[in-house]
Amino acid sequence: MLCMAVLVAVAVYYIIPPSVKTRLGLDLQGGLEVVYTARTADGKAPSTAELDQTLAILDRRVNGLGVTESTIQKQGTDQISVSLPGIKDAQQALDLIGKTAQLEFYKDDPQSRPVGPVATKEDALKELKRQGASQAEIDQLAAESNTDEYALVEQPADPVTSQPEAWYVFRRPPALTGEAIAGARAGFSGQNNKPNVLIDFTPEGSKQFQDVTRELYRTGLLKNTPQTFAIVLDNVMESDPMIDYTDPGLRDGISGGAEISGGNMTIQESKDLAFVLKTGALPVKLEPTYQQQVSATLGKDSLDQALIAGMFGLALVLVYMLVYYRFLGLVADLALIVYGILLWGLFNAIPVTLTLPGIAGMILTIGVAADANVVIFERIKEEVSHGKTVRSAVNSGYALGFKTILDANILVMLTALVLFFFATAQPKGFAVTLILGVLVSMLTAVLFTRAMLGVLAGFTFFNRPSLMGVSAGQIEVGVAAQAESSLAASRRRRAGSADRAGSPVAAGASASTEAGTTSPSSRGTSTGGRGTTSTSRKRKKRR
Amino acid sequence: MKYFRRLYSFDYMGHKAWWFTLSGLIIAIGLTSLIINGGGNPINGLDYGLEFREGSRVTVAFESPPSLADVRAAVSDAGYPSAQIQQTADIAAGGAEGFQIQTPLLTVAEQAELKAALDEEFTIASPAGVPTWGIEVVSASFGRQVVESSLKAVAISLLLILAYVSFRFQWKYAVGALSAEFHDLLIVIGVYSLTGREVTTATIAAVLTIMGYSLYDTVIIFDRIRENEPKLVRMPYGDMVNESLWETLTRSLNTSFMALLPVVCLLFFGGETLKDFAFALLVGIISGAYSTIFIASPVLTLLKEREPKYRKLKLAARADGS
Repeated sequence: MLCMAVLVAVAVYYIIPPSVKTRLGLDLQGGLEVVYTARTADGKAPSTAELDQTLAILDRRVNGLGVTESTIQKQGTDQISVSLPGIKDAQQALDLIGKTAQLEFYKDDPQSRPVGPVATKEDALKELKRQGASQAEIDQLAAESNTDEYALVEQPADPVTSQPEAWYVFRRPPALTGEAIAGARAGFSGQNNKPNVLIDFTPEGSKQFQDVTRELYRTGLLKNTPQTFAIVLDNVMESDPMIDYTDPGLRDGISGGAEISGGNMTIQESKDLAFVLKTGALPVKLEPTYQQQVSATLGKDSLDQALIAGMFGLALVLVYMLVYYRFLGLVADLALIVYGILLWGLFNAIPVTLTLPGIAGMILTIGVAADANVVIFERIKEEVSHGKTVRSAVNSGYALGFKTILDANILVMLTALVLFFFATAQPKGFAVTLILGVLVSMLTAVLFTRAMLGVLAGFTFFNRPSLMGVSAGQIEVGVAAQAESSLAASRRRRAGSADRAGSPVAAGASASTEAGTTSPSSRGTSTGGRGTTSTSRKRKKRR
Repeated sequence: MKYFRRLYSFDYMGHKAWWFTLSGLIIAIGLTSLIINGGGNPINGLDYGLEFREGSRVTVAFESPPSLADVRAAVSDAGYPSAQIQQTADIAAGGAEGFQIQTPLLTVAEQAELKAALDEEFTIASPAGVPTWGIEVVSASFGRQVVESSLKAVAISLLLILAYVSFRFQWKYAVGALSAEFHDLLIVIGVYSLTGREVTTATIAAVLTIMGYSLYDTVIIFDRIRENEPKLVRMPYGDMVNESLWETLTRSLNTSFMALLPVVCLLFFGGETLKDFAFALLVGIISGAYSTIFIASPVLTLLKEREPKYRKLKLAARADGS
């Protein structure tokens, strides 16, 4: 009993105040969930290392968005689910999280750029084919935009300079990759005061960048035409700065950093770009395969409806138990309330995120928890109507009843476990609730109901069959029925002994299963525990 | 009350043929409906939800509720003439009218465009500055994955049940329990086909719960049969099962009734998703309570009566009666 009180107190500590301590899923408080499928740049399944690296980068990006309860999880071998409950700007999150942010610098000369600029993707591919690329390579480039040797790059149309869109094919490897980047920040261009992104290189990257620009300067000088290089982000050309060969200050190349100044970036776009560059490029491409976005109002509606339904359900069960089982019903009701508090507390303590299917599971386990008591009480009633004293009926009824619900509960747990391991996101929450619910209901049955009945069995007022919902008439009927049925049975078996319990065959064959019902000597030992020991001690005293 | 009392002395096992026929009829009706709905292929006979296909579902509420036709026109103008649009009274988002719009798969950019277009036309309700805009996007590969994992989950649970019941009881009990499980599954599928309700992932979760729950019910009666088997060893098996059923009937009825109470509440008060759950659970719990008494136990009896010991007892009892 004391143990129970402590548990309840701990649970209550975890519940109050509910608005702070209960974690709501995004279907109840609004939010965004995306499941991405990861593919390497050339369309293959990613390695575990790549997936782990992606996970770490996504984590940085999500933290940068300022979401508090985010979860990022691997699903299977090539999927990642990102859950952002309570996020305000889902659109921004969608734009930023899944971006590969693979930044590449290409030298813009015929050697590095076999094709372009041409007007369409098809033209670019056709031209590359003419130059002798294999059909397989062309197909892969059309689908994934990347092969080991080429990168297909788009330059979007620029409405300001009314330059139409253009397509290029660059030859790999690029002069510089995103690995050369140490940091990025949004700023404004010194020339035209437009938003831009400034890139800082690592020492190694800085040297590489200087080499490339120095080379371009010299080529320009040699050919007497300015050379450009292309800054490409996820196969889109962000800018193509020119190295001015007439500026002797560039003789040794450019050191320090680079600038991305897409024609007309907005301030937000420049900030977003700096953000993804800073958090690092993903080693894989992420395709959203599932997306769920719930608005906060819809979430709150669902929560309210679920709570109302749950409250009504619980109230109805409480009333029914009370009416049907009278005093035992009261014990069961208390047990059910204790069950509810424990389950909720456990949810918050772990913590389990409460989702709509989870609440449905919880409401269902009310039925299962109540059933544990029903099974035990029916057993006790049966024992009482067989003419036993209430006290001994409680002991044997509890022992037999608990044995029954154990098997049944293990089976429910088994199916819930299967659901947990094999099903996808939504049913998973349901399975977790079901598993915890069954566990807690067993715990309540063992600790609470048993202790309560044990304590109550010690009082004399408790020793009245009517409290169990059994009338005196029913006892006689029960006893008579028992005698009659065994009589009928014995008539059928054409044997002399009329007493069912006394039948030698029966008693012999079932010594283990009916220890509680038949042999008075084993009553105390079959249950054990606090309550029972107190009763047997009393019995001894009276003797 | 008189009829109620008769339940406690009724010869359930003596009428096996009736129960099997009745269940067979109900299942046959369900299967026929599946075949008709599926145009000859029963697999297509159910209305599968978005999670099993490919596409997007937008849930949105507007400031001043437009008519369904207006919304349809606007969505069509935005480039989705084939979109299915429903008015949902359930979304009481600040009193605003809710709509569900099912479109083909939308990319992130397309979502933003559609949202902007609808916002311009009707103004999306934004209590506390957060627009009432929800969207679910499912790609074909994800849908396939859901189907596969669901089927796997059902198959594995059935195997586990078979193993556990065989281990704790006896394989004959396991066959009885599994017959009841299949019965419940077929009934739920049949009812979904007949009522034309959408099958969602919530339905799958509910079906798995039903399997667990129906089994729960079955195991409790089987436990009593197992207990009575050595006690009433001279009784014909069917009579012994009857006896066990009578003894546990109150519990069975009470439990099922109490499990139904919260489920019915969910059905009345819960939102759209919870209603899905509750409906499947409602059908399943009723079917589960029925199948325990009228399928699982008779199948067990049928198997057991083939054992020489019980066959002899049965023959002896019949000779006695005449």
